[in-house]
Amino acid sequence: MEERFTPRDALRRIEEAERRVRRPVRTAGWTFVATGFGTMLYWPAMFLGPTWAQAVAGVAWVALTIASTFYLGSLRVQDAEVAWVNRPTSPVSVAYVASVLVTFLFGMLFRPEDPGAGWAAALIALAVLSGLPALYGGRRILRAER
Amino acid sequence: MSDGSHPRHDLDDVIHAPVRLSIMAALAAAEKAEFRLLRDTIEVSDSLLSKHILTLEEAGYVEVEKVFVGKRPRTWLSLTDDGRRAFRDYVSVLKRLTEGLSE
Repeated sequence: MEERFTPRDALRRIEEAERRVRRPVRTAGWTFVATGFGTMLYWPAMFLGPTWAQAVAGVAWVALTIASTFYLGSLRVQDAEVAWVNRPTSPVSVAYVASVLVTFLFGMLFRPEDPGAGWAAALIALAVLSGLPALYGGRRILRAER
Repeated sequence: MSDGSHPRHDLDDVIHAPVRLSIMAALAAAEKAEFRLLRDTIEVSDSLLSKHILTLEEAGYVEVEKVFVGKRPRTWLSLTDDGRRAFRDYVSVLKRLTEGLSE
């Protein structure tokens, strides 16, 4: 048995269904944004911070990686933007991995015994750059929202 | 236009039912959606959702794809090209109707 409904009811129903089904997509977008900002904070904490900050950053990094991988892998809705951003060969993924690798190597191989302001500034600049691809991916997904 | 001149005669009867409209709207907002997500989104039983999906599938508006993830079956649903076109037309008729009401 079908209930009767007006055109306005129908438009409201459409908006509600769209909003609900897009919720996981919005969360995926915010996951990328969190990864971007997390990456920007991770490297300075690891290479410039005290031991406790390194420990917190390490645990947070692992937790964020596991949570985002699990969440994106179990999405029950497929979206073109999420699929594009999350593809291993997408410009976002490639730029993210490459910039993270460069920042890691810079921190591991070129860290002086007593890092000065210049080295710290260079590391922070690299950390910001390495977070940008994920931020771009998240922004792209969130901007595609109708 | 069909029989009458009023825009309501242009409303697609296959879509113009609350559950089917919600299914179409949800699928129009994504590439594909899983059966359980639709069920939770629309808040209907599995059997009622299946019944309406069958109607939409028979009309050529919805495509059903069954896959296995490990041993667990998953049913993915998507709009066909005809389905997207029909939904767009339906929404434009609705807008014409509501604009007429607000005048």
